[in-house]
Amino acid sequence: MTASDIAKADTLAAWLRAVTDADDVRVVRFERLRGGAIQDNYLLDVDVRGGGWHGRHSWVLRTNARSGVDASETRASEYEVLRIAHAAGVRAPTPLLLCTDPAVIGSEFFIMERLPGVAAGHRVTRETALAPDPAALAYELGANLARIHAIRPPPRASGANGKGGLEPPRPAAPGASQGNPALVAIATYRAWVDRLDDAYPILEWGLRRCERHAPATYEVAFVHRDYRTGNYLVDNGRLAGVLDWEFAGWGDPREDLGWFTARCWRFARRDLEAGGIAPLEPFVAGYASVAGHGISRADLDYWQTMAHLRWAIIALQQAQRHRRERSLELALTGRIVDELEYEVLELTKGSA
Amino acid sequence: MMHDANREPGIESKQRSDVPGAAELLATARETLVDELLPALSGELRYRGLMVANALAIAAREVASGRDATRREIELLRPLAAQAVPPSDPGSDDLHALRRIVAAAIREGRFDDDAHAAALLAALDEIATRRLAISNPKALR
Repeated sequence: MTASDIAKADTLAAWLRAVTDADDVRVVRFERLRGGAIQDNYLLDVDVRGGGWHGRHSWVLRTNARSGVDASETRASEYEVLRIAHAAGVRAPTPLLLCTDPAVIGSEFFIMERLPGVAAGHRVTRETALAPDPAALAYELGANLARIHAIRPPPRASGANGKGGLEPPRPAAPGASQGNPALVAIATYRAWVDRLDDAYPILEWGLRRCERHAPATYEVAFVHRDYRTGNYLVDNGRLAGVLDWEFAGWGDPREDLGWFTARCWRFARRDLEAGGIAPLEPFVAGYASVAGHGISRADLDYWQTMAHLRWAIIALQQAQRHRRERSLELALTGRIVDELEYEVLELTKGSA
Repeated sequence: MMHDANREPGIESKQRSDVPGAAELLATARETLVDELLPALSGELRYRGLMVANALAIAAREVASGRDATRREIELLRPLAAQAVPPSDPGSDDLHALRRIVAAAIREGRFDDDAHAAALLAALDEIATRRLAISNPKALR
């Protein structure tokens, strides 16, 4: 533990003692996990003596990293999202405690159950022992995604909100998006591009193409917006839970299907369309087992294009962050934009 | 910003022919890392070492062909930009300005019709392919 983490652990123990009404809380382990470009996650083991939480607990604490990305929501909102998803039967960590007082550890945070398993995309797609029956895992992932999409916005709200979170969907902007989630997303992505230093003709081509071919009909449902290999835990070959809910909000459910299957999220197995773990079919079959329908090839191509566009712009934002924070990982993330642009062209060629 | 070394095409570093230049230094540094250092690393440090190796490989490829890729991007964007804006701003060599003009024209729908879209796509395809050949040639199809 660094000195600042030790200090955080002390104030955290005092806060936990108060909110759990315990006699004493001892922080046994408080370790930062690597891999969060936007959020910091800590392993948190505590001994609680007395009160309703008495006993030993293995948790994850999630807080803000030094600076955020535009698409990211607050911890309080993510906590609420997790609570709703969990209540809807989605496999995800149980949210336990929320602290919106930045004084405790320097930033707001929430605490959730620590699930077992492996998430790392390069391992899940490479080590066959982790998922001996990949088709079954893909089926579970499809069914689980459909359970997220079964969450619907409150009545009378019919559009999408571009940014995520549980605020009511944004009313239709005059002349622009008309509440169509695809068009709302495109307007959002363009606003992000406009805040970058350079201009990006290939991304503009993709955005324009997606604008002109936006789906004529759509539904609005709860979408995760980062449902992909690397963001779920695999334990004994099964889906243990879906992580990283910071981008979730109202949108077109097909956005998640495109994101999960996009080539850029297949890690070591670019040939396996269902997130690098299996062919498309078992994933869509699992989805259809809950949703009652799958997705057409044309819709999947459309939303895979949108996935590459969105990831390219977020990667550019992360590359900009490198200028302020000096991180080789962020710098290299900027370099994957070339591959994402190439895929945008591969997906949209022949549709001119 | 992205290719500072390529902004002034007249100035090119010429290393003495007996002494290793940038490309050779990057290649040798990477060999040392991969052959001698990486085998001694594990876990998080190995992961970081692999990232460094990747960064050195990209830099080496950019030294070798970044200049050509940039020159070609300017050649390809210039006529597209000329279609988009009146010939008051002819033949700009500022790559960032060219990108901005073409990007704005695409967003405004000025490349929507089939003929314009085909010319645009052909140019963008070559630009993307050249850039990917530098950043990650294994991803080329």
